[in-house]
Amino acid sequence: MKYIIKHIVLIKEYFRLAFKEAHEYRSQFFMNIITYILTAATWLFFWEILFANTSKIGGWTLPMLQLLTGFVLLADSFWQFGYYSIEVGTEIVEAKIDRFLIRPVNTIFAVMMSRFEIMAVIPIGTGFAVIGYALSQGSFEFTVIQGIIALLTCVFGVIIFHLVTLTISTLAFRFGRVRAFISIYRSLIITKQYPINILGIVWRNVLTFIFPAIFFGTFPVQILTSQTVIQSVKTLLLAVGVLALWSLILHISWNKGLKQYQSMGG
Amino acid sequence: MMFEKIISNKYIQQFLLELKAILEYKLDMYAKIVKPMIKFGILAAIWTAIFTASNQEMIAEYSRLEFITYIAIVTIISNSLLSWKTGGIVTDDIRLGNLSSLITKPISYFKRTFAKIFARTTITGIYSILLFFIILIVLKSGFGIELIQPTAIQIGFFIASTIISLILAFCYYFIISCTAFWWGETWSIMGVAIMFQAFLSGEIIPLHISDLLMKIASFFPFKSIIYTPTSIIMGEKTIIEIITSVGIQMAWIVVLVIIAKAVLKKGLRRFEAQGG
Repeated sequence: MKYIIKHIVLIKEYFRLAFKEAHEYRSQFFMNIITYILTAATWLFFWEILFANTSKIGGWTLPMLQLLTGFVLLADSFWQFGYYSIEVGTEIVEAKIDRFLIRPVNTIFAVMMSRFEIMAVIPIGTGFAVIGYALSQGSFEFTVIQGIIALLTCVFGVIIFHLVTLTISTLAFRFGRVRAFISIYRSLIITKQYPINILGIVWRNVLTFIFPAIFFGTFPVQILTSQTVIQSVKTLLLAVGVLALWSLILHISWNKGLKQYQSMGG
Repeated sequence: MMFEKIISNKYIQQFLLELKAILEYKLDMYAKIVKPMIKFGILAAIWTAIFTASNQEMIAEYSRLEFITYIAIVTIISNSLLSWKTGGIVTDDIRLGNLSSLITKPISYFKRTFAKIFARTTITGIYSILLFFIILIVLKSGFGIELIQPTAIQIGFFIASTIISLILAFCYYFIISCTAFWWGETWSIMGVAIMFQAFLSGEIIPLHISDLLMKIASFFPFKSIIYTPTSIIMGEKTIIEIITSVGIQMAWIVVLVIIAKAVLKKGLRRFEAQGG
């Protein structure tokens, strides 16, 4: 319990530091908002154009795809909080994790929080605005519980993504630079913008268990539009299961990697 | 003698040095070659599913096969043109103060950065385009599927147009990166810039899917970056149209080079070389 409280207290400190850093680059803060507004407008326009000639794509209506865009924007904002996961491999290669290893905190937590991106709080508003707009366009019926489950599924999806990225980063203990692997992994990110359940079983499994894009938007939209409460809970449990699996893999891989770590840098 | 003169050119030297640096990290290089293939694979799967799920024979005047061909070409061009990386180089030079040592040397910072970007693009670009033509040949001889039937003239103009695209994209991202003189960081504005370029260049969807989109795109240089070379190799343009399009690309280069040099000049007046 003490261990957890210690980390929660640390989060407060990291928040304070992140806020100070964000204050230094205020223009970036506004540009970040504009980026998200433009991204939203682009994808909403994209779906409008595509639906000029059709009314449904594999059971997906236009408001459903607008809802998908909203959730993906939310996922993007959540991702930004811990964007530093993609740099952990470089930190290992350059022996920059030493300063975290000597502290009495969880090393991965400390590395991630050292570059916590507080500015991602604001673009969340864009995601919610698009979700609100999509809900006003379609006649969806869902309970508050389903709304919460949909949000949690989206958040868990982002956490899984970070866990996989971190697991790939731990390969740096053995192979050195792993940016190439992360780069290949991230090339699948384009899939998040599309309804993944219309794809074949192989891609669907890849995008559920390896690259968790299905949790970013597809599942949350299905929870709000076509799933019962029981089905929604099952979807959430799937997210929890995948999250637990990757947490375990990361834990093993990190500890194994640390044993080989020589702190050479260079 | 002539060759020696060319090879000793300081920008060619910069290009060769960067090329050596890239070849040192082979794994990274292979990833850059594999990445567009994976991206193409997933996009082809998505659009095949969209065609099937929406019961449409044609989208944006393209049949399923033509659409997938379009995606293949666009993916290869957009992944080969690594000009957005200009952002990282220029912003770091400005933000970390490295620029101060570079501007004291008898070289043009603009040309030097281009030499670096051109080196990064050369390897991935050549490999990707070669791989694409190999896939075309395999599909034609093995399965009888003919994705495109370009003539020698079209291939020639496609290569020329793609190189011009690289210069255009470089100038565009160089201008955006120079905002670091005023704002310090550029990753947010770079996000907007990449989004604009992807959507208005035809990278996400073919521009002729909507008249409005095509009209908006005509006011910007982005159309010349992806859409022009793609439509040339897909045989959608007559010779006159190809020459006109390449002419428009060249005109945009002139405009963007003038803007880039002006922004750099103005930015250098503000440059404090504090680094850190």
